[in-house]
Amino acid sequence: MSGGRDASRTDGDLAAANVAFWERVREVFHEAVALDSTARRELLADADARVREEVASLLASHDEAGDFLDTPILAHARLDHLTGSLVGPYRIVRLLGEGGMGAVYLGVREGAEFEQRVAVKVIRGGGESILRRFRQERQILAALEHPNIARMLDGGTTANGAPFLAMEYIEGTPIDEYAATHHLSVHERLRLFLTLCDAVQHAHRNLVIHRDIKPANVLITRDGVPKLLDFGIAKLISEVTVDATVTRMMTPDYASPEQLHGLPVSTATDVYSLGVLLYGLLANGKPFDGERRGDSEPVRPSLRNRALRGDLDNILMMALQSEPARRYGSVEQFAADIRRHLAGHPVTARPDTLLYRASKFTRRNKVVVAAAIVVAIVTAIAFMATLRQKRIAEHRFEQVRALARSFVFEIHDAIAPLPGSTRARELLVRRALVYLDGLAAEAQDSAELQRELARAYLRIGDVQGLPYQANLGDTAGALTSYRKALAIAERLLDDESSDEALLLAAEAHDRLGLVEQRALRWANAMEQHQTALALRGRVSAQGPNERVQLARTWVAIGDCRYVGGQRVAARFRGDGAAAYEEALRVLEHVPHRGAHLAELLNQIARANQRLGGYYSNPGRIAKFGPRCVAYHTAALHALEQRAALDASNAIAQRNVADQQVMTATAYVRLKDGANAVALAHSAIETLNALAAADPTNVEAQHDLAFAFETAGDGYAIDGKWDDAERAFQRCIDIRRKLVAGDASNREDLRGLAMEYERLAHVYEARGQGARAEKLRAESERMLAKM
Amino acid sequence: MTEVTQLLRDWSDGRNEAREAVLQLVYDPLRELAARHLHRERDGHTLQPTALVHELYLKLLQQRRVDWSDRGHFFAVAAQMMRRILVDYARRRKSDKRGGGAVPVTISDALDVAAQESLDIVALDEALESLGAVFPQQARIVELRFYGGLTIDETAEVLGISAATVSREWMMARAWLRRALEVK
Repeated sequence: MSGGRDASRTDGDLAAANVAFWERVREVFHEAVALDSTARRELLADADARVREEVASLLASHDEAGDFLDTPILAHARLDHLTGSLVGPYRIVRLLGEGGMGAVYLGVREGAEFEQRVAVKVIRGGGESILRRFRQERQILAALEHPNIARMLDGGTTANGAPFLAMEYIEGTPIDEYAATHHLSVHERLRLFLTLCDAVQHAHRNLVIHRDIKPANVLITRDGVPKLLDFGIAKLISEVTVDATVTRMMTPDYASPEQLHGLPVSTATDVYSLGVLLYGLLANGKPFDGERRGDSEPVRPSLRNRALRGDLDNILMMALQSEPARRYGSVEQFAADIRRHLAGHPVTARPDTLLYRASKFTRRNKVVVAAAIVVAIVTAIAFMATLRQKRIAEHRFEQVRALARSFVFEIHDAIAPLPGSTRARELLVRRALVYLDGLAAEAQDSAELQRELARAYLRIGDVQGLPYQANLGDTAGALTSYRKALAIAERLLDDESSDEALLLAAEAHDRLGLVEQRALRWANAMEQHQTALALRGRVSAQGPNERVQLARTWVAIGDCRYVGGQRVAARFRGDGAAAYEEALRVLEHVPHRGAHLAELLNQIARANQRLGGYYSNPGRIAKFGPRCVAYHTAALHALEQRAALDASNAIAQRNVADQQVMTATAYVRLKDGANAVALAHSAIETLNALAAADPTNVEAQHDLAFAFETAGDGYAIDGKWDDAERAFQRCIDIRRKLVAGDASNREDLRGLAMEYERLAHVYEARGQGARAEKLRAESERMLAKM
Repeated sequence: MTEVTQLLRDWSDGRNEAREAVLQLVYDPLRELAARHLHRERDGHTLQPTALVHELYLKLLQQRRVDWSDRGHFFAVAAQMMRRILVDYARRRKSDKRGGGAVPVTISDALDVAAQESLDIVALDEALESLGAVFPQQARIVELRFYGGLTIDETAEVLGISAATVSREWMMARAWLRRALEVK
């Protein structure tokens, strides 16, 4: 056996020597490869003969390597499965490109006398009736003959039944790239663009809309001839593709607003896309900063390129009008204006009139064109200021006032639920404030206008930063606006003590109080709410609305007493529950019908919910268990009624689920597992529906986590350990996702740690001590990390 | 953690037996699929391994049981598989052509593409094998870059080395392989 060991040592030595040799080769190669031939020779001269030989040979191979292995196999393999096969009469040569809707191949006509190269577009999707329509459309497109349009040659289905189109294969450069590399002048760019317009015009005359004009679809051949590709393809594809992916697939940069909104397209759609394309050619940039939304207003081209000031600015802005009817009526007109500009004649495009833009919102769907409306608001307010300066007739002033009121009170609400509307809302608020301030100074003598202004300030303050509802998080701004409203109301009160002025002042105080509450300045908050209470007491006509508002003030006072405790001034201290009960008493005889119903139900729910919370306090629940459940149930009942008023109101639905979880938590504290589980599951059902309706709604996920947690607690009470485990596990899954999506989300991270703790308890109860220990350790580790 | 994920971790920790296990685990079901596919294709006049490869990737991606969250590892496995699929295919083709065993099966044969026409799949595989015996890291770089389609930066990330190193070693590996194929 000793011989064997010797032999292996010898092998090892050899291997070691080998390793050393190759290491040396590697070192020298790396050093030499960066040098020129003379320096290489010098370097190699120093190396020993074997190393020298090896490195020299590798260097020689390296110098000859070219693009050897540079193209990964995968580059060929992806989706390229038609290469070599026959599609219709065409033999597929290679893949040219691919996208979500299919792939484009280079093909040649099999058996043709001369080589005819075609672009073969194979589209995903199929089905008999769809294919029939596809064939009809194809024939229309095949009839399109124009020197600047790539011809549609053929179409059909592949062996696998996928629809395909064969088009003239164009070798060329995208127009924007071409213009840049050839350093074309503005004049030359316009000329090129005009040729393109001819092509589009021709198609429009044949009743074909392109729908996807973008630089990648406008190739300039080696001879400088523009060729428009893919005419009408977007439509064909949309007809064969079942899902709505086409619009998503379209380059949103070039798509018109109507396309983005899925509205009917027209020749004006192509005008718009041509406008974007020309914009890119002239201004060297896109018309929109950052992410484009719905009806973003283009940046004036002259801001990107000063040379475009005047005609070209106006021409582009006209082509880029978000409303189709406001654009050039045809590509012909668009082109004609460019020709006029080139010839030095006056163009038809004019800067937008303020009056037009201020009024156009009324004709349009509020939600769909929300972003455009914001622009309109800003312009309209500017318009209003202009009117003020000009001191034009009183009735016009009133019109504008009505318009402004609609903006501040209605439009904001319309756009607020739109995802991502925050910036638009900010802009709205900022600009509205500037002009409101101006108007306030202007209208000192009209009490009616002053009241209106106070309401507008309150409203704007809410948007800026009213706590406990969606706001822009601008607390300082909110305080300023509320104080402005208050100042106006107080001035009005100086003149005469009208109910309206009293209510406005009370509202301002209540809102100031809420902001103070949020900042945990309980003493200040209480002062505000007490003042509001006093003002409300002076109101002579106590109708339903007044009562509902009074109840809200009482709830706020209860909060200050209950949560603020010793921090509020001694004279205002008291039992929170008594204030909440007072709120309920105020609401007792308010009729459950009329415009105030939703708000009435909300306030009933709030007061009951607070009382439920008050009695579910660990120190009270043992004694007041039934009372606690009764209040929570009453709150739930009111919220359910509220939600039933408007089934599409997601917030109302969420409030119901929220209350269900709260009630379930109370049951957990009362050790009533069955009721807790039942309520938690109702909440889960609602929240699942909400989450499904809006997958981006993080809040719904957050609520779901709580609901599952509560369900788990309920199961644990009854010793249903498997069910409890499942519920906690679901909760953990959700929280993990939430934490993964937002690293700063400490609330869910902490929640996660607590969930581990709960799950550990389940394992322990089932006698799985080791698993429980592991989870506990993990939980502690997470908490320690925070 | 799934078995595959664990194996992938072990592999990245340098345990080569784990790599073999991963390939077995992921590759076997795919090979079965490949066999069926080839069988189906055999009656037709064109054999399309590209379609096969493509389909294999789709299947691989669809393997929801496998935690492919680690993109780097996915490509590492994919690259290995691509290499194997091609070599298997080429060997089978060679043995099909009875008497013509010396005729190389090139990548363009396998993938029906114009580029890389002269590259002999089996020869490249063998050259890569011998490179790996001397410079294992270079062989892995080639695998990830050429078979896996990874960029220099991605390769660096998967291997946990700098992009500059990948770039350097890639250059030398290419020189080596090219020379090895030329000699043959």
